[in-house]
Amino acid sequence: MSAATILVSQTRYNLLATVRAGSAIALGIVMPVVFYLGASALFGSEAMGGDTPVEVRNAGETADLRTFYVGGFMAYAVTYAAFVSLLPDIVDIRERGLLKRFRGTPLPLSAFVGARFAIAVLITTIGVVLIAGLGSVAFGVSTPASAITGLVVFTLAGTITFACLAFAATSITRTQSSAQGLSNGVGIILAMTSGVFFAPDILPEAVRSIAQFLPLEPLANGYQSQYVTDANGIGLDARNLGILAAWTVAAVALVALRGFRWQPRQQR
Amino acid sequence: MTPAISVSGLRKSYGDREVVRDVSFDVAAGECFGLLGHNGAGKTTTIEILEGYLARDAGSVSVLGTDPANPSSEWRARVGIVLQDMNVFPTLTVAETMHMFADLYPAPREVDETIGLVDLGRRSGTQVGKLSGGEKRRLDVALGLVGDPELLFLDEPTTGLDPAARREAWTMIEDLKELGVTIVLTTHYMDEAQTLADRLVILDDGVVAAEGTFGELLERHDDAATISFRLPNGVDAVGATIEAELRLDGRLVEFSSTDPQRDLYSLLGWADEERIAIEELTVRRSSLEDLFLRIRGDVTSADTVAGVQR
Repeated sequence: MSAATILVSQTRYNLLATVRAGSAIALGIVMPVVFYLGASALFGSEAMGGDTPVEVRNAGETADLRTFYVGGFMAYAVTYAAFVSLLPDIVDIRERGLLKRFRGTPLPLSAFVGARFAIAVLITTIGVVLIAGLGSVAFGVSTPASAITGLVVFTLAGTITFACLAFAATSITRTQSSAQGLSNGVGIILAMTSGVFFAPDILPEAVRSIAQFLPLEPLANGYQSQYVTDANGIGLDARNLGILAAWTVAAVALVALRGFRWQPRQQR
Repeated sequence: MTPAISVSGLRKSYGDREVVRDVSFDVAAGECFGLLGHNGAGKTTTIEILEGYLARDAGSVSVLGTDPANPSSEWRARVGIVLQDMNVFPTLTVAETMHMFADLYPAPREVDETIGLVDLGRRSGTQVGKLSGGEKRRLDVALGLVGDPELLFLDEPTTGLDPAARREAWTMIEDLKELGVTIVLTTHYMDEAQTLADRLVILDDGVVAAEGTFGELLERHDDAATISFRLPNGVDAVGATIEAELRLDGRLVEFSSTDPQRDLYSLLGWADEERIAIEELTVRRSSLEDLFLRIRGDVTSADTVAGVQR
């Protein structure tokens, strides 16, 4: 079997197992879409002040809350698909002894990791496309053609960053349930501080300035910028991509330093 | 013929606890080799070194002509592994799981045929999470075989199975021997080793305690007699000179004797002199089960009663 065939096979069977287990779809697609619809319907209406302009950092422009939510929940979907659901999944595969068993076969680590990244990209893409589509159909926030490159770039960059963080975090978690606790805790803190559920201007300045250096805020801001700029270069803000890249480097460095663990921690 | 596996002077420690101490043995190509020992005897550590999972501290190891400390994917493809404790994705079917593993090998065995070998043909469309314990174990064996290996490691293949499932697993392993695959089987069941293994090594506390075919071991230990008796209350030590390891279980003392006449003379002479009435004195021929029981540590080992030995 060639490396490419093994990658395709791994992607196929890992995807089947993931889809049937259901939690990745629930966390990475269903929840973000439902939360997006709920938030937009509740707070995005005229009566609730959904037309109030919200400043989009870096873009130098403002957007109404309905538009703001589209980008915010795209970033939320990426975070939950590529990190919150992926981390406990990998720990589960390790703790059930399956990674150890794979290590006793000719499977290269790169094919397993590549398959999990491919699945993450597939799920985040579905989430982003659904939110863009529903935003246009239900709330009149249409995605300009000029935004598409930016959406693709941020979806890939965000997915890679968060999936790298998920793989790195497997080394500090023992069980699937501790991984679930960690990833959900991190997910909710990031979402609350990064301009997903509400405009960040109601947060204390200190929280806002810290959040700008966490991985979700630059991703949300990157998506949101696509809807308020006319593709004049700000859409692919170097600072946002730079912070995502820095988190990716940190995650890869942690894996390089601690090594990737194949063996279950819980010797049963 | 070069052996499939050659182990010499193998050592492995975890921290300052040395769990494998100077273990050496060979496994011939095509044989079913049994590695016996109680939990903690060093079986799994030894096997995991051979499988390429663990690095050794000292000694030389060759598995199919390769040092497993530097495993290549070509070597991995020639070795089949059945781990003691492994669970594949519960939501994939038996056939999907088999294909997922078959896709990893350059020249896999045909999937349906392999499923048939372990008698799971009728369950191939069933999700793995719905299989019984025995069926899961058979799937593990099928996953170990699907790469068409020359060598198969079976780590405690029947632990946790009910008696009927164990019998079925034995039949299946007997059938595997027909395929000409070299099998390394670890177990802590004496009857399992007796049924399946052509040759065996018994590990105890990290060293090889016995080695040979089942017949050889039986013959060797048949020469000996097992002498046992009960010490009366108030007597804590055996004062007789006996050239054997005494095993103490409560007040019951037991030892294997190569010269029962001499040892009985010494024992009874001491008892007579000290006016001690020893009880329940029995002399019987040793069996391999005795050897194994002794090694399994069911009876307190000689080390801990060294004080009463002489």
